[in-house]
Amino acid sequence: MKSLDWRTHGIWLAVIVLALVAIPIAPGFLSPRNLLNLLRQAAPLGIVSLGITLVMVARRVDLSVGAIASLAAVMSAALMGGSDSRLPLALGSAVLMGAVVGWLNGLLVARGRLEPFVTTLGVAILLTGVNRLVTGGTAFGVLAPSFRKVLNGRWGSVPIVVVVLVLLIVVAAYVLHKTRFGRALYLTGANEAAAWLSGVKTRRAVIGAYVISGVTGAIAGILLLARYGISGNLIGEGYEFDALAAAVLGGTTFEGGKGSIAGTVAGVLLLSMAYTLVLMGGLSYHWQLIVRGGIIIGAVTLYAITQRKARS
Amino acid sequence: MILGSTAVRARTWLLALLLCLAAPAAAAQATVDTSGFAATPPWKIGVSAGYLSNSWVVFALQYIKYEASLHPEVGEIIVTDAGFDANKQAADIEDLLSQGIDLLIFWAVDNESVQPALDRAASQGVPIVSVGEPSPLPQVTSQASIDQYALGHLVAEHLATDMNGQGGVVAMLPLPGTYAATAQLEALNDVLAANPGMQLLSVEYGQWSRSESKRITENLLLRYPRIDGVFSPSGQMSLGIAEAFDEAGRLDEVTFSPGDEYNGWLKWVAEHGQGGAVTFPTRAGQVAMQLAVAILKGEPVPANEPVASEYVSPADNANWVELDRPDDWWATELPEDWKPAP
Amino acid sequence: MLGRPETPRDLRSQVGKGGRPAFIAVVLLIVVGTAASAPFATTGNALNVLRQVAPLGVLALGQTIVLLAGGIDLSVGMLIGLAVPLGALTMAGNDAQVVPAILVMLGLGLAVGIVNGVLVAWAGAHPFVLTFGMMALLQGVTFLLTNYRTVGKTAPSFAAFFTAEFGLPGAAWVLTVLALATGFVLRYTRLGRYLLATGSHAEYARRAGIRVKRTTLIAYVLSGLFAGFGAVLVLGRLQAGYPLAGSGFELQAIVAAILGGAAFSGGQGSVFGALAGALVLALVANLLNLLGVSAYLQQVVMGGIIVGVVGLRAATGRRRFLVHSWTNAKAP
Repeated sequence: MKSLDWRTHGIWLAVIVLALVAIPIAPGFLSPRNLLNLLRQAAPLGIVSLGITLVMVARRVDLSVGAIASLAAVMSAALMGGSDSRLPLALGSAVLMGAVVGWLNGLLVARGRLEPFVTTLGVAILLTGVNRLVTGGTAFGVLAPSFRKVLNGRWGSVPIVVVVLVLLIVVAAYVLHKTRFGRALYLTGANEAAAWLSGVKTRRAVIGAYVISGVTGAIAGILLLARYGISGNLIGEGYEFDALAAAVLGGTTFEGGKGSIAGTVAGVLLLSMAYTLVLMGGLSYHWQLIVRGGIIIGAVTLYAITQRKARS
Repeated sequence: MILGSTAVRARTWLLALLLCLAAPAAAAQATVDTSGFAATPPWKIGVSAGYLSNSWVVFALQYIKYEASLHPEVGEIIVTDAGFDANKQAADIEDLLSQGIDLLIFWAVDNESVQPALDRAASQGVPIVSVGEPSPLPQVTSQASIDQYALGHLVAEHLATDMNGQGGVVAMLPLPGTYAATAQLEALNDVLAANPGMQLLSVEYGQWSRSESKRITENLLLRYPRIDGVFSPSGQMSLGIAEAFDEAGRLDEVTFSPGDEYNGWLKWVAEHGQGGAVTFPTRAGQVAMQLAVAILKGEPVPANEPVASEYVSPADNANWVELDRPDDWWATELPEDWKPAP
Repeated sequence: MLGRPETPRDLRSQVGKGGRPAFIAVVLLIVVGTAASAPFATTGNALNVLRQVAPLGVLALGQTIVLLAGGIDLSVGMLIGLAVPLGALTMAGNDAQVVPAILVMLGLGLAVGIVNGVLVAWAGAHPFVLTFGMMALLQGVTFLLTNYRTVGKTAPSFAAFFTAEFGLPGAAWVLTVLALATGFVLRYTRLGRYLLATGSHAEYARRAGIRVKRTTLIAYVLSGLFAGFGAVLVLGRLQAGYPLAGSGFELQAIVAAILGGAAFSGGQGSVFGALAGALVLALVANLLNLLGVSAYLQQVVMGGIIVGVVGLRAATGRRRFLVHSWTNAKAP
């Protein structure tokens, strides 16, 4: 089974090493409270990374998710207009927007065969422009009272966003590893021509992956809105690159056909731990950047070396 | 335009040079003779925004446009957005100059990096007005500036008073390296030096962002078992910090400094009755346009027109807060028609 | 392999073709600009555009080389961010220090290029994630060096070179010389063929006796070196050691290179295309400003044009299944 391949799981080793390193630096690091805090902070990135993983397994890439998240946050805030009764409309439209943008991305990339990296980057720039054009530059809208209360609440001692994250991880893992659609993504990514010749609907698979990616982008935007309130129009900026890095750290490759949800989750954990650790270690901002960069470089190098060892 | 005669240029430069030499207090009163800049209407005014990505500058820009609407001589305003890219700002200013603008209003991505582009404007005889951050540049004809040191000092003093001069403080500053961050930190350090009972626990950079400051604070709360005070002159960031304290159940242990007149923060002040605000007036945009109009009429203008911050106590807050407005909004005296709208 | 060139001649003829859509876009932009805006077709504006495009053009060349060899380099923006203050500090307002300062900037580019290249070629690190990490690291070092402030001072002669015009602006001459040199290397030298072969299919290249690892290393070293040249041009333009001077350049460079016919699958791209791609971005920005298009609408148009040119490329290019990978060097 793919998800148990050692290569896609080498990253967990890096996660464990980092956790061990963390203990002397930040004594409270492994406390349940901190770990839940870490997961809560990781939730938006984690959710975006799930969608990106699906797209990358099919040998594509999606840089528009950050802009989708921003637009989803601004849209749902504007549509809910301070009233609980409009919540379904607001959230529904935001998710629908994510799906539609994803579908358009998919059409351009799968049907029009446009180069995905630059195409989705262009779509991101365009969406950001639309976002600012429509809002006039400030994030208008007043949140519904129960919106933040529910999403910032806890189920027992577990934050609701962490519950949402775990649910979506399970769903994504099921979709990617257990369904025909998931298989189609792997086959498309591994060899699109062969997949198509053997009857796999490759275009439909790619478009489906982009739709899911757009939806995860929108969900991440909604969670960011709940977590941070209305805080400007560009709340999702930059998430696409962290998500890409997380997926690749977790063993998903740009040449497609490889990758797992478990690996991506490990990648997300690694990036989030690196972030939290440098903050808890009390490092000044420039050292935070240096250590964070060093961790990413170290992890990707170590990972490459162990992967080669494992192969030989 | 034939205004770029060498005589005028020499005079501007000489004046600017004198200004640089003069003491800051004297500079505030110095006036600039702008008779050489008088231009026949309709005027074309270029605005080079270093960034338009936060609500403060959006309001300031609305103030610029509003004030322009009061003067029929202003024919056209062209706005460019450099999106925090110093190279793009240089290009934007060049492009504005090719369109034959009569005057340039700008706020810089970086004050020093914009200098070569301003040199070109000055060499074409185009007067220059800066808005927001004080500009030390000799090319700048006049400026509507907000003194971040004075603002930071006022914020820090109110914090010290509210904390009775005792306790450990964390500081949340905007982007590292910016004038705002360095001036505010300097002011805070000066106030702390006068209050030996207070210690600076940590200096963080929340990048003007409510979400970033919340994330940082969540980690600060794990690092420090007790935080007595928060120095955060930006209300937008204060909001994120306050939420993190609230969620950790530690809101009671901490005293907040005044933020600014960001509506989301004013709502928080209304609810919790502490903190207050020291304004970071978006009206600076209006003052800049007033200076621009005076310059193009050839009337003498001050070399620096400071836009003063004022303290809003939690008790006065009711006059400022707009509870039915979004968080991402600024208390303003702009007429309703000129407020930012989709 | 599907859609792979079979013979060296195929390889050669394929390399430059991707630049045509960007070239068409440049022509269209010039036609539209001349018709729609009076100041557009003036000498003054043409010189402006050349000044504006020069740093991006140099970076697009460097990125094209890396992409040609099947890699990617995200570190160039922050490399400029470090090199610019370092150069300004070295120069310290002193004409005698101009040459050492330029050497420091280029040397830094070389050094970072070597680190990237060694880690990608020998350790097998994934170039996207590796250079993404390098971005953060370099920015941290920049802030450590500058204490977050704009530092240093340029020398009068250095400033004069960049404000003066020698027929063309000084920066445009630098771009021209680098473009000619790159074109020569790619077209007429063995290294050019090796880069192409490595990016087209690393395994075939290795079997053909090409030292793939060394070629990969050279690609990253050249990318770093070109970022060093880019830093010189940025310092020339801003005349200040601004620590965030390079932010965003990495993406612009990649977009310019891809618009100009490079591909993530490696083995494609040309000097002509890189310059055309960079010109598309510069001309769009210039024209939108000259037409007084509102700042927010500018973003919408810019995004649309990027998608449009990629679409043009897809429509005019050979019908083939899309492949994109940055890890050909590791092909089994």
